[in-house]
Amino acid sequence: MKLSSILNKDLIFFDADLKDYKKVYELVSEKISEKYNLNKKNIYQAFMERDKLGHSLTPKGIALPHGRIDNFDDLIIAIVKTKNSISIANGKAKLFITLLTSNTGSHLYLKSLAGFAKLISKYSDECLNISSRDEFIDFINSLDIRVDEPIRIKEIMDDRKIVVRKNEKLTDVMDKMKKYDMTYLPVVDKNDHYIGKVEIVSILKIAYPNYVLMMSDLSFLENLRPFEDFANKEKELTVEDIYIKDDKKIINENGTIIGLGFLLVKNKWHHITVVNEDNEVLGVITARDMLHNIIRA
Amino acid sequence: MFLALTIFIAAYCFIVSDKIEKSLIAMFGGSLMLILKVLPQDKAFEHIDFNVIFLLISMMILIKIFEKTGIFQYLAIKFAKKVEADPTKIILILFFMTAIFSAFLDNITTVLLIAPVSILIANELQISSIPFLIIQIFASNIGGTATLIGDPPNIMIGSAADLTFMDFILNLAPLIVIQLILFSIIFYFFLKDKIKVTNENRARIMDFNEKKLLKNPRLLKKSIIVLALVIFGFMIHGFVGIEAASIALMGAMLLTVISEIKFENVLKEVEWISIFFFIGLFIMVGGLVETGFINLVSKNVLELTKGNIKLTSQIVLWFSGIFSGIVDNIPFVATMIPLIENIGSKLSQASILPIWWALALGACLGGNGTLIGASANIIIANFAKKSGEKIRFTEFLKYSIPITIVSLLISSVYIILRYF
Repeated sequence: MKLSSILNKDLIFFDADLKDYKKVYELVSEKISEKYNLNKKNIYQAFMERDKLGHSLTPKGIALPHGRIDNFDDLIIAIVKTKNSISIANGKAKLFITLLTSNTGSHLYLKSLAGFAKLISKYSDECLNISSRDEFIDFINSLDIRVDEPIRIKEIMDDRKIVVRKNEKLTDVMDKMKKYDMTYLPVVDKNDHYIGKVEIVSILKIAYPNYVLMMSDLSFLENLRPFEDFANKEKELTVEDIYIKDDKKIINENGTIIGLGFLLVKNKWHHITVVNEDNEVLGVITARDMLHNIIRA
Repeated sequence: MFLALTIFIAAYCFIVSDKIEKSLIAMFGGSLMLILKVLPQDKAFEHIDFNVIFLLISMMILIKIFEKTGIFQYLAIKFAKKVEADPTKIILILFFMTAIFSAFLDNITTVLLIAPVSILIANELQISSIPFLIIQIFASNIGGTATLIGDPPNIMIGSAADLTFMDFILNLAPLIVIQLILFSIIFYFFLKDKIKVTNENRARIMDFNEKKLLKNPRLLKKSIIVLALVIFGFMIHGFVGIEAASIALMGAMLLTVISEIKFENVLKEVEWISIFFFIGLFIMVGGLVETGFINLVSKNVLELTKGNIKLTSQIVLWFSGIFSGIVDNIPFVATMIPLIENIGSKLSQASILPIWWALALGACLGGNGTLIGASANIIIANFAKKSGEKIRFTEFLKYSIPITIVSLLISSVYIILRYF
């Protein structure tokens, strides 16, 4: 199914003269309510409720508000392009792609989100420069973005290829983790082959030797010698001392997110490394990526 | 008989080599005896001592719930503060605490709970944790000898010889109290003035707020009541004619109900791997009994000792003491039990009582002989290693050999004076 097929011409508004994003929600709620005989107030509240969890806004000014309502099993998309940019969250938006779905999410919901994510990642400028509804529909139609294709691992993985080597000091590893906002890093050998991982919890474990972990509780003390010695140890120890060998990995970056989710849930993993057939790191995926790029995209 | 012996010896060798999980070896050996028709299945299952199995399971449940109260670590820290964090006194307090808990709970759980807090205290005091740990090994094995439930060999012996909890208390506990007092005096003079700590480090221990460890006072109260009832039940089980396993099982179920912990989670805490080790062993030993091997050996032993109980008890004490220091005492005791039962059937059950006590003393106290002599020793050695302080095998022998010899000598004299 093409992304353009799920758009409804009657729910696309261009050059709307609105100055507040709440007015955008009001307009969208009103029009959806009229067309689908739904309660306007409920729709508006659904968008506002979701906003409390944070706004989905691209740096270029495209917002993706979405809402979920009870007793409803459908996916409705309404698009509003305002005359001028409107303040929302900590930025400004001019194009609002709103999605309304059921509380459990329709089967097309995630796929549509991924379709819009693809559209925005490649064609933000074009979308923002289009000036009429028909032109917008023609443009989307011409792109042939499909929503019934499964989302692939490579589409959501972090492909910056941040890795560490066995001889790196833990101090440097933690600096790297902070710099790239990662809590685990793949470890590679001199041939760049994936050999394991180092994670922040393994590093922290230095402060909690086994005998400490055997205690039922540590609330009875306020000072702990191994914890105090942590700063010295991080300078002395290297990745080789603490990394976890042959950690979980997946070889197929074209695998679907269904298979990926299955692996994470079944094995209670929080992250996974993606490698190619030569065992070279292509990227990493964390449960957080699933949340940000799929579940709450 | 040859097939049974071959399977048994092969299994024993694998257990000693410690290359494969010993429970798996025991169960594999047991299964092999069944499939090769060394003994029929119904006979094999009769040899599984369910009194031992249920006593072990029930005690594991009771202790696992009890340990959630934090009481063990609370007491260790409380006493450490009572003696103003004096390292020698802390060591001695932990020695007695380990011995008492080992006697009334079980020695493996005791060291699993006391050893971490000992290492923590030693580290905070910036002294070696090795003296703490070595002395706890001795305490756990000596303390565990005192009661029916203190050490698995005693549970097996008690069940096989129909000896009650009070029989153990009356026959073994006095000797163990003597040994504990004697060794504590020796340790005190050995360690006195040797371990020094700075006031700053001592203050770190005094700053602990141990009350925070008692997070669930309601569970603690319930656990203490049930455990007290169970121990009281053990004391009278001989008089009222209820097996120790039935009392422990009732206690375990009662505590599970009133603690409101899900039964599923309680069962997860049972060390099933140990339970299956016992089941496998019982089947294999059953094979030796059913094929007549045990009968043959006991005849030879009787011919050698000419039915002299005094001599036999001394041989059993020293042989089991030395043997248990080298290999796991559980399979050894499992093999010795039918042998002694067989000797008893040729003489009289009452006359062989000293031999049972000799076996219990030898097997339990002999565990102190080497670093691999008992499960508690291995657990503590692993703890030390993971904390960056290795207890060396030969270094341990320097202390363990004299302690074990003195311990067995006292036991030897005790048996002669008390029973002959």
